[in-house]
Amino acid sequence: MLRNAESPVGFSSRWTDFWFRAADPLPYGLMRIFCGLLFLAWLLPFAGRHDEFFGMEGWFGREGYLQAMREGGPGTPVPLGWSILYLAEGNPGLLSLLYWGSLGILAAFAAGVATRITSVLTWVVVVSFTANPAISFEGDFLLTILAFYMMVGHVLQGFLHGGLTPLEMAIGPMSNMPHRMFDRDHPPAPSVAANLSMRMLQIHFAIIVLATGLHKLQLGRWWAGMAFFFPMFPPEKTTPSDLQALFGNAPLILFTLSLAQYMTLAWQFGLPFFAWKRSFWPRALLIGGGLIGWIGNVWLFSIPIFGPFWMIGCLSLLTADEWHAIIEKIAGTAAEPVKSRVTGKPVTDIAAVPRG
Amino acid sequence: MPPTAPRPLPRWLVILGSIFVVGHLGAIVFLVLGAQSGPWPTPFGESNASGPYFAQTIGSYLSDNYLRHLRMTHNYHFVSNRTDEEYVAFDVILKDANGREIKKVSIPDPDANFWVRHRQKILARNLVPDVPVAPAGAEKIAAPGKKLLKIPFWEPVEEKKEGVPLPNQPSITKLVIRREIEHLIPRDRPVSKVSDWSMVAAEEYQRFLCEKNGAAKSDLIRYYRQPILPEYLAIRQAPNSFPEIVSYFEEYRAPQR
Repeated sequence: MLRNAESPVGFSSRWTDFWFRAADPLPYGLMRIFCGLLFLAWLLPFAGRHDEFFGMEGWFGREGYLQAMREGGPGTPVPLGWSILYLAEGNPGLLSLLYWGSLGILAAFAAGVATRITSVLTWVVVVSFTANPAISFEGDFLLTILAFYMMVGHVLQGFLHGGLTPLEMAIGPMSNMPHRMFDRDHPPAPSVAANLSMRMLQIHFAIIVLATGLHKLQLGRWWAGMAFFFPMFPPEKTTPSDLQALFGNAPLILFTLSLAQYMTLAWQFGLPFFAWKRSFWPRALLIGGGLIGWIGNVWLFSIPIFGPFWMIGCLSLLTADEWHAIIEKIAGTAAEPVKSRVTGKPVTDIAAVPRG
Repeated sequence: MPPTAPRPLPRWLVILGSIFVVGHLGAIVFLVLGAQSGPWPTPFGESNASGPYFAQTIGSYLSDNYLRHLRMTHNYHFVSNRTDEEYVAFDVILKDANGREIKKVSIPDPDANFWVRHRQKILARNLVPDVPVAPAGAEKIAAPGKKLLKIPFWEPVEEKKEGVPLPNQPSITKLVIRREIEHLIPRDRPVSKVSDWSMVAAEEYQRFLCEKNGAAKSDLIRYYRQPILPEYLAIRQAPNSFPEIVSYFEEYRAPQR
């Protein structure tokens, strides 16, 4: 671990520094934008078909819901419970209102509008729309995780020493809106709540990556290195002649697939060792792995939520100073030295900045 | 200008926050640790093993009393880690009161967008797996004035089912539901039936489609293919065709309004 004169000494100080240090809220704000976009991308494609997927007169009616609550089933990984959509039973107009209203809330949250309120409503929306036995998908669980950590930080942000106006105390800091987030002259106040939520998201993400990696090792196909074979040759599309055409390259295909699969496992088990390191190669491994995971999930597995979640989890591990460096590069103003928003010192080497 | 350095949090708040952090993440760790593992080989076939008892006890308590309210009760043993998934799809043929076909709905819909098609695949997966029918014990006799319950199970058929077109390929197995008293169910071969959950799902889908399209009745046809095995590539031999099972659910009649 990199240490410098500002690094805390002793377990208690390091614990407090890790979880409860007031940090630049920029990474948390960016995560809010990414999560908001993911929530929108998850819910918006149902537009026009929301009644069939979420209504009580849709693919799964009242009887189906009751049966799912009594017995569960292979298609009900998400625990059912309350949902605001249950209010719209027998009222398609109200269902449409709730659906479009929910999209509005998600958009407002992503845009940083009244985040103390919209973060709570976003969590309510995500929880409500995942409580559906007919189309519930285990990836939906990951959305509720993101929504929860986004809610915790935004609800608590700025209550202590935030310097907020009474209106901001009620609805959340205006500095969460994108035009203020990147304002170099009036940077937002460092936030303990933002840091705490980011840390919890980081640790939870690492637990998920490790747990699912360990689960994979309980399955024979993963040990054999053949897990990627199945989505590459889906039974609905693959014909015997397709397979026969590949017989000449069979050793190469099997070698490549098994190697790629074991590299995936190595990335998952290695994550805790490189996730918090800020030199070039660990960062390339982190972001490159997240990106490849995203592409693989969409292209190979045709699964929509896991990939973006993986990417958001990886991006949540970047520090404020790293984000500033990235933004400066994207904006093309890299000639001007990037300053740490907490220490105010120029950042010349990403690896040399204090932990944040 | 960077903002002035913020004051540190009061100690009591740090302690309170630490309790929350440890409790929250601890609950997740115990939930993960307490999960079932496997399947492992046992003398009785493959079976899952329980998680460690201490983790199960603590994990289920925290899950029921805390994580459930946050909807965070998944243990991250994702079903999608089992990549050798079967293919499942279904058609619903909607008919009027005279049995004339009104419309055919295919799920997953090839014209639907990526996200909707993914959810439609989940709808289709609710129709599997079938469950084995246990061999009957002694012959049962109905109580006076009562009839014995007939159990539905899948029966292979050779002939074409009336009113429903069938693909004519030798690799396709056709199944229809037959109902029989328990002790009369064939024992000379493995027999399976639709699970209760799949039956509920099939009825719900047909109820919805009949209501939406004003149909009086409908037929649900399920298409099922097993995953392609990598061993074909390893040994460089593949069969002439990959088998498909086409299963006809019982006709659904929409309630009269």
